[in-house]
Amino acid sequence: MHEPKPLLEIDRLSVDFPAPDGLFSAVRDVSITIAPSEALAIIGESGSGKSVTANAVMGLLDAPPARVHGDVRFEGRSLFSMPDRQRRDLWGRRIAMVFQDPLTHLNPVYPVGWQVTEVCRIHGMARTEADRRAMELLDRVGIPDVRRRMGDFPHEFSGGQRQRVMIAMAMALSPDLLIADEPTTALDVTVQAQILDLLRDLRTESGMALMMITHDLGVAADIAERVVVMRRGEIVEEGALDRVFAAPVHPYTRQLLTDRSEEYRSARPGVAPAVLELDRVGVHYGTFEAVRDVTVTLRKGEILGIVGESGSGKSSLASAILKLRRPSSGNIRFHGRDIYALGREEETGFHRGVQAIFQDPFSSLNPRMTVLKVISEPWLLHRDVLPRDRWRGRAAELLDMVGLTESDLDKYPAEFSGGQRQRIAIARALALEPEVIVCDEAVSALDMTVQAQVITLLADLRTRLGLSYVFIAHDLTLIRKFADHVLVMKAGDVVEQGVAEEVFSRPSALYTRQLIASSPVPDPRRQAERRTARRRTLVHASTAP
Amino acid sequence: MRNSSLLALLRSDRVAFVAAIWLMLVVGIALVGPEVVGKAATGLDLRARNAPPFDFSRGWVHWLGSDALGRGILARIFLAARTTLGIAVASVLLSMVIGGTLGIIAGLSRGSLGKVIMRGTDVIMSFPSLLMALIVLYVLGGAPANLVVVLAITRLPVYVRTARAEVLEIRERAFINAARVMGAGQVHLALRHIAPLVLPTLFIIGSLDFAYVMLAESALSFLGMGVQPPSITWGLMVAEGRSYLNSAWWLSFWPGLFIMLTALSANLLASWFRIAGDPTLRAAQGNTGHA
Repeated sequence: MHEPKPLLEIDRLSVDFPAPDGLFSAVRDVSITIAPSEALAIIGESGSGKSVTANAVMGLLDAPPARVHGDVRFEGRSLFSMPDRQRRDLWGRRIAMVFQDPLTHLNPVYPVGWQVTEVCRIHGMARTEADRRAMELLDRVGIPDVRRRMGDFPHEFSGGQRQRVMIAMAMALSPDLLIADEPTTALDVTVQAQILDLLRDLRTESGMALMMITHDLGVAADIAERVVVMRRGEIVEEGALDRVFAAPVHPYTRQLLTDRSEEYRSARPGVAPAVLELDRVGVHYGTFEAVRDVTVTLRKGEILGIVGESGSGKSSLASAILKLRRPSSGNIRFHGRDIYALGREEETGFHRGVQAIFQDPFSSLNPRMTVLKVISEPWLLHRDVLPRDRWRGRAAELLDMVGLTESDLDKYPAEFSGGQRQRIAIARALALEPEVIVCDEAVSALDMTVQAQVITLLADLRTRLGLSYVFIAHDLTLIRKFADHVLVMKAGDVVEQGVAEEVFSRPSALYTRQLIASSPVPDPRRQAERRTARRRTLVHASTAP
Repeated sequence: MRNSSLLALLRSDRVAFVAAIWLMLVVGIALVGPEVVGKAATGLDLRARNAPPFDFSRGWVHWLGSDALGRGILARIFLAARTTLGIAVASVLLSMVIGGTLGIIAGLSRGSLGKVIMRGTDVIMSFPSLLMALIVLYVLGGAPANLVVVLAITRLPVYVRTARAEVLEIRERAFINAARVMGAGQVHLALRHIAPLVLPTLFIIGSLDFAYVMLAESALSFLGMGVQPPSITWGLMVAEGRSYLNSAWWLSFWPGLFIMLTALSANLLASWFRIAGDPTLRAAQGNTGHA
């Protein structure tokens, strides 16, 4: 375990940014070492300083506003004090980086092949040799039909393929250290699994070290040998993967690893009256069929989980339920009445009974309205619910219910964090005392601990107020913990549906099995077993994303 | 409480503060100036023909020099302030309100109404605005009210297109869907959610247009189609002084300076307001003390 000479040493690194009230320290006194060909994962939530640390290593911080202290040494030589020329030579040749969003990090106006070639040429490779090497690399990362696709532009590739191209560029000069900043966060789970496999294979072939930055414990469990857990700019725990996951020392790590599934679920078999019924619902955009023939029933107090990858039609289905997009076939019934053929009175009743919480906490609240205005908007639209002089009091009660305080009523959304905004959105959804809340990826944009808090809140409200949820997510683990009834969608079709526990323990559709196998679990040993099992089954299945 | 904090915010931004003071001064002049100078602005005094500025032996109305008929420039500027600002403010407000409303409607409408509005603005845009103004004013005569309407119409497309573009973006945000789910109709969406977000942008354009309209008005007046003597505007003063540029530069310079400073102040204050009026930006900016 003890390497005599570490590859990269981050030595008491601190990074401060000037903020309105003094200095904001993004990273405080962080020391990390990486041995040659070691795989290290830095785990942390947003604001933990994990990306700032990586950017400091790669010299991507703007020096004047950011104040950097401490040192970063590569093979014993300080990156901060070496001449620019030498440092530029290290970046790219010895240390390479892969980013989260491959679309913004690839230049849209150049062909993909040209961009890979460019990396080789910057570091002094001859043109023909660079071309040959680019082709070899793209082939290695699994781009099919490379010779033809070299001339294609980034937008002509899928998200997973673009990430493969980024990896090819990073691998161009066989670096000794690859820094990957959330490389799979924007990808679907099945694609994520393939990218992780690719990274692992490349590492075994070339013997490079990997510094993986992630918020996903499952990803860390899948790929790392050692983990560093960061929180608010400091390292809270560090150690071998198995040790940290099996016996976390720091309370924060323990909190991250707690499995809350038992708290969430309050199993209710389907005996309660049906609230919402979907009957052979289809949604078309022009000739494109986004949703085909969905039939499902939501009962009182039940949580219906809809799971699927991007493009599966789950959000289109939500729009149809919310009357935002008229379905092209089938019908949706709320308490037995078709929601697209309601009288005036019933229409009002529907808008009171069904509310929504959306994915992006930053766009779901009007930035120009105070929290009080946001929460009382439903009462403005439905004037008979509550007299105006009681708005403030009731809004304060609702805020209290979602864990905020009355003093927050006069603030604007910009003054809150993502998790807090989502709580405000929940308070707004509760204002009309609805029966059904449609949560369209309502917690996907939130950090793990915040996500857990919001889920706990939703589960608690369900028990207290008898709410039903349509809970849409791409995160399988979440649906598994939270939903009573599950609908698995793929490219507009329902491939499987049933009681959550049964679907997850005995999946019948091949796609469900693939999804379950691809979704990483935060347990190194089980993840390793699952990986081998998955790779065995995938040998005959098609692998291209 | 909110007004006093806005004022404190304004004082902390020195440039915007000076701009605000200048605008208040100009508005004050427009309100009471003509009465203050009274006869001095119209009475002839041929001994003071083209008298140079900074000669403090005559009355204060002559401090900035005198024009070809011996009237004090300062007095003329005071007199012209009311017509100039009146025409500019009225036509900017008119085109902002009408254009903004049409733009929001065009943005929200998915049917033919939006198309009709957009094609209408295309027609206005494709017609040379000065030519249209000339024709309309020739037919209707150069009364200030006609001038206001003509200037407003020629500037309409900018507001319509900007408002529509903003609406198209805002329409896709989640809070609009959230309001729809609560049962909000188009009118509620337009007034509660969309207009407050579109308005700051329109204000910025309006303040830029303010300068443009003042200049367009002077161009029309110069061509004899706008305001007619004995009425006077700053633009007309610049135009009248043009023939004396070689011998008496102050005839055009002072009114020109007033146009420039007023337009500049409007722009500066507008860009300050964009930040101060936006709770999102204000939260980020508030403590640093400058914009």
